[in-house]
Amino acid sequence: MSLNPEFRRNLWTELRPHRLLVMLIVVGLVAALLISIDKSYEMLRYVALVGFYGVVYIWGSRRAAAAVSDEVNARTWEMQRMTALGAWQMTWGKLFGSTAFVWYGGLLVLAVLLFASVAGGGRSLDAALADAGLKLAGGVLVHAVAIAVSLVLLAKRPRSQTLPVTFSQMIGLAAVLAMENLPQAGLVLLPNLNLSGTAVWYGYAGTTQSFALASVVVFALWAVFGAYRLMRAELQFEGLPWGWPLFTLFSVAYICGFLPPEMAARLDFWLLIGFTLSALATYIAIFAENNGVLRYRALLATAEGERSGRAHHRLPRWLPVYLLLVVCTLGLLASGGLSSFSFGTVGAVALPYFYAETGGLSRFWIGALTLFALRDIFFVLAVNGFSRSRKPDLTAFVYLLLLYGPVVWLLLRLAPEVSSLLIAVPGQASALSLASAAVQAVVLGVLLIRAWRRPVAPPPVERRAAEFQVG
Amino acid sequence: MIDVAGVTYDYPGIRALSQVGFTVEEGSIVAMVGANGAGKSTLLRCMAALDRPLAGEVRIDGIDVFEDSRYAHRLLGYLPDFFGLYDELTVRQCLAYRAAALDVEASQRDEAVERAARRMQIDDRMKQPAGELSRGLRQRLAIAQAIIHEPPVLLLDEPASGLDPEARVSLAEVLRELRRGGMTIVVSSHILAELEDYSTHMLILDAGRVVEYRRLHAGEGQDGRVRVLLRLVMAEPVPDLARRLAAIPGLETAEGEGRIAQAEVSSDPAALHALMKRVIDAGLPLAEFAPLRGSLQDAYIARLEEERLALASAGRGGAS
Repeated sequence: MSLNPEFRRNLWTELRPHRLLVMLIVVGLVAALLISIDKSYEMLRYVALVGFYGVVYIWGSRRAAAAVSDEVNARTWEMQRMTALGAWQMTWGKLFGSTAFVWYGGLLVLAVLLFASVAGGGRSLDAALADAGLKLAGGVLVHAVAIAVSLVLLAKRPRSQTLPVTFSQMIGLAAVLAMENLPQAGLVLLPNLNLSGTAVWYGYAGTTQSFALASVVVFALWAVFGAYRLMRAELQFEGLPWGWPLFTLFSVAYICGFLPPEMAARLDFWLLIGFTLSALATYIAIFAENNGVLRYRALLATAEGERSGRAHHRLPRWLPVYLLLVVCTLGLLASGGLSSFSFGTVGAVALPYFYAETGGLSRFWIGALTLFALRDIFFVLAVNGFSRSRKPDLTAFVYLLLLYGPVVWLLLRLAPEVSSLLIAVPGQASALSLASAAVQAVVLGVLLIRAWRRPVAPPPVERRAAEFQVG
Repeated sequence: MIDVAGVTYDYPGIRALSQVGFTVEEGSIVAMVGANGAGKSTLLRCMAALDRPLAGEVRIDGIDVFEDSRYAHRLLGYLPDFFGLYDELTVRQCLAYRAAALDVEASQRDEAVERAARRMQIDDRMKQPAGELSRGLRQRLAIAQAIIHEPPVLLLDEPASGLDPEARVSLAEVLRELRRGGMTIVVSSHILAELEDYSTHMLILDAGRVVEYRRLHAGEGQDGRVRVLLRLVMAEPVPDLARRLAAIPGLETAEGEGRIAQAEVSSDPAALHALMKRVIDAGLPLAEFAPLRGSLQDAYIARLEEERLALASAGRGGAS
């Protein structure tokens, strides 16, 4: 079996003998120097720890993000897309190929860290190895997220000839920071649940370290899967957008594992967490999409054309997660368990809503929030369709931020009844809020469909002929 | 070999391609010509399955390129107008990567690398990093990468831009050779004179529409070269000139009266030289012997003007 060509190409550029030698010498010299200064190995352990984060997390995330960006910037990406390489080959070839030298350096530093941890007498070999495993999985996670984000950015501006690296790197670092500190974060996020110092998940109680390791490994696999799915789309493979809703469902199951058994056994709690996460996933998806008019015009044209059966291949990723939100909403409304919830009991699991102190959950609030989410989606698409902004998604984001922040804050104090017509305000949502959200969504939806169906400007020659006609 | 049907492509606010459709026969070289913004590059990108059109389909050898783009890429070689190379890799590594990425059998990769390098005359640069090559050599390496898997279809977007005259002649020879090997080639270019020597068909695009798609020449010789129109001028009137010329091997279709005649001949320089010698040996007072150049350009300009006038008059007709 021959080596993945993309991986091998990266090895050719990354693992040049002189680079390997220099890295080995630098790590060896620094280690020797630190041992000569501090015989307790504490300084060596500390520097190796910082060194690993610096090399694998910070430098590595940059290299991973550049795996796609460099190709776009150097105009080799089109040639790569023209190969017969599959999405999986391309994904792992870039994930581990572009970071091959980083991993070489990282493993050297990790070996030093293991030595310092064990030889210094502070930790057992098992604990040190588990810690090393966590760091390795964290490295894969940060790199995979960086590649996935760079593919998202590429899809958002398909004809761009430059692609930034730093944003993808930052998101990757944020992801690994969140995951590695999940047990501690869990204590903050779930203050009212029975989560003590040890991690308890579906009745399993383990050390925070083993739980963090398992979580990081699983989420690293999800990140690799996400990068693979995005690569498929970039390479023009057709398929339904089921990856993101599947991840959302997994996240629901993952978070429900933290609930005390009596809560985890109740469907309405699952629905509530599903409602929260699918709302979050919908907003992430809409801003991670290419929301251009052309994309939706193509979707409509395919759906209404001879090959309407292939329209589902063009569906946006926000649609299935929004449908999941609708299902959770209907489930919650049908379950009748809403009265047992309040923002106090579910706390941050239901996302600490900005206006939480103003009331509890109600059927109207749940329904209005779902409809206002649809209004927001259509609003983002409308800004893309009607504004001349060069960054329409950012423009829409700022408008929504203003709406959900200062505008509603002012209205709540000056005319509270008006605020519930613009967003879902807990405790104030009413049938009127539902109607208002529905009307806004329908109006924006109709305007969008008309814009997507509007004939495109004819080619210049036909325009010239038309001018003749007028003359 | 290539079937394009009803391809429509939009950019924001403008229709770049409008119901474009044509069929390319196997073994032909299609010169895709048109002004800037006519849609040439967009059409080539759609044909290469890099951009999905709003409507329409592209089939290469019966394969819908959007349904199975990976497989279609094995049938295609494509060189974009602006391309990049892996500057840190040597020429050999660039070609070896490309061969592997295009699923060339492992046992045949070395041979494929050598063959592509030889064809593009860069086999003496195999150890040189791509970043150190001149612009012309980079272009040759890029074309070598595009043909390394011997695809039945080759799409070239402005392949001669940046090449010096000698390299352009060499490129033309390479394209002819590839065609002789059975490859179907679509070449876009602004420089019509360079296309004329080797193209068999002309596809005129204007404002995203196919204005004309036709065979350029009556036929071609067994050497794979297209046949060009030759103008012969005699120093003095020759009675029965057409008959005497037609009797000369290679000038079968000659026609003319008195001093000036035209004939369809092979564009091969060596064949032209031999032909001129035969004309002189036949005792004809030859004063001028030259292929008629500029016919592709003339045809292009004439067809565009005709099309635009037709559109304008249709507009007036509609108004009245």
